[in-house]
Amino acid sequence: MRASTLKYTQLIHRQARVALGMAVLLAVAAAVAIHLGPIKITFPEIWRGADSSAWQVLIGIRLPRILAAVLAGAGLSVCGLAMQHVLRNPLASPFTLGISGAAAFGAAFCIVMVSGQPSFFNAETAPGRVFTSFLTGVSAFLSSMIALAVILLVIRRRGSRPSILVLAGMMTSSLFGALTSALQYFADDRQLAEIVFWTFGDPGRAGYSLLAIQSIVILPVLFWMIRHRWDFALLQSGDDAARAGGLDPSRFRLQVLTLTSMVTAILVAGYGIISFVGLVAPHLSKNFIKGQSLSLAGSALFGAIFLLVSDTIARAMWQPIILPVGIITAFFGAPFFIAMLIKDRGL
Amino acid sequence: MIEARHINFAYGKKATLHDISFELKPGSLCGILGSNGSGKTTLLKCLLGILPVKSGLIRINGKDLAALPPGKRARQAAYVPQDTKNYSTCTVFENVLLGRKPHFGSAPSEKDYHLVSQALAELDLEDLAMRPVQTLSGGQRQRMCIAKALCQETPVIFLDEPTANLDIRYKLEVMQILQQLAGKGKTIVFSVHDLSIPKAFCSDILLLKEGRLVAQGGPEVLTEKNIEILYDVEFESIRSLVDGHSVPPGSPVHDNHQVLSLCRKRIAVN
Repeated sequence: MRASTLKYTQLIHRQARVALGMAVLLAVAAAVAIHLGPIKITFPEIWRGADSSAWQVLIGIRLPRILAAVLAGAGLSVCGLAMQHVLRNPLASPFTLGISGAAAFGAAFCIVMVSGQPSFFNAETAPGRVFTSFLTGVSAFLSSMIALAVILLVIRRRGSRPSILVLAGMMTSSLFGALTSALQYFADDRQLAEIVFWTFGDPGRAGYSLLAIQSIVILPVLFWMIRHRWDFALLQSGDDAARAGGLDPSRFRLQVLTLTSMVTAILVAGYGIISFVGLVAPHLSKNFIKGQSLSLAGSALFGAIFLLVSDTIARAMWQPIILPVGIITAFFGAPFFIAMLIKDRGL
Repeated sequence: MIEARHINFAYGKKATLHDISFELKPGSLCGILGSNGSGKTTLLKCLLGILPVKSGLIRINGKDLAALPPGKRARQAAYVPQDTKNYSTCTVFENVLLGRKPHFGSAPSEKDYHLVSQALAELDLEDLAMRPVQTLSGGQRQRMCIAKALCQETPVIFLDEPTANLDIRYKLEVMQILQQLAGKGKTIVFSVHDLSIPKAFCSDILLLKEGRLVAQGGPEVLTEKNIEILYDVEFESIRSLVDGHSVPPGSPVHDNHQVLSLCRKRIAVN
């Protein structure tokens, strides 16, 4: 075996061990997240069975929240890395195409139209709350799909050049931002509070049915992205080189943008805007997993750990107050990111 | 074997290639010469099948590459672009491994790793194998792209100015590698500005001016008249770039061709 092959296979084995370590860390973080909260849960209490209050809290509140943080963290991180690859821009994130801005408008629109309405829309009653929340999510998702349709229209007319896509995303974001501001301007105090609260990302809104729907969409997309990891690398050498290497860059970019937008839309519609994860986690994960072979899988693991730990801190640090997780992801992510910029690690 | 018959190509309404016809046999090392904007890169991309010709016929070993799906096309012809800029965070090894992508699908095998190592050694890149691509110089990147094309194991390789960013030693080494590949029966087509290279290495030369083929044949087509037509210059003013001279010991080196000759001798001694 030649020296370079040996070095590379050693690197791959080392990265696989790091990835395994990250999976163990994720399990530990999940165990800590189960334990911490307004009611401290210990494992002996859980073993007592389904009748114990610890079990009720675990199954009813903590587990869906933890699963949501893992799913959203992995999904946003992989989508962020995918966007950075296809747009050839280290500052790209799942929100670059304006999907989150559009979702915020959709949610705000629903809140303003529905909130305070009589009958089953009434958020004072439990069924009303559930239905309003469901309707808000659906409206946010549909609005995101409008943003995606705008981007796809631009691609159809002008092709999928990264610079065009970034500009189209910025414009879509600005447009929906302006519409949301207009809604906020005319909303009453209560609606305004609801809109602001919705935009704070919160995995605590998760339920098992939502998680099931999200998993059906997100998990296959994540596997598809990991399977196509070498195509992402091929795209980085320019469109002509990618074509010569057997990839249709326009088609691949279109597939990735559509899939990332779907994942982002379904996550934002469910949990609101969880900022920073999709931008920071892919970059931070490169410090641990180098090279292409395991980059997407590593990014998924790191994103899951990052969001789960951030959510646990948001829940447990200032009890009984539960901070929106977006504040924590930005608070811890931004300094790391700035440190990376200063050290120029892979940016 | 490359067969091109009456190729015409236009970017929108701007005609770029006019009625180009030629034939290259397996084992040919063909240099395309022409001034900036003469259509060299466009011709390479048309031959590769990534730019669809307006009219005419192109066959690479009897196949129309433009009609093949991207994966199958990549097993017929490799391409080294002029712009070797790379945005990835991959290592050099991984980037060269991408040349094997048309063969391995989703996961590379031991054979792929072996071929990558071999190509890295041929291009003197083994020491840089674990370096991120972003840290390479222009010349190193160029050699990496050539290594990637070697790995692709195709019967035909197209290269757009493969020696542009290389110093004189690597320029010579790359040309010798291309010559060896041609010797093994591969068809190599490359665009080049350095007039001394086709004269020294190529079996076939295409002279292109404003999208039209001015002349084609062996090194003998590099006549004073053709060069004057090609570049709109007086031959005397660029004679030293085309003609080779023997260099007396101790005398200063005057031109590119002399430097190439010196380097060739030095490498042969080593």
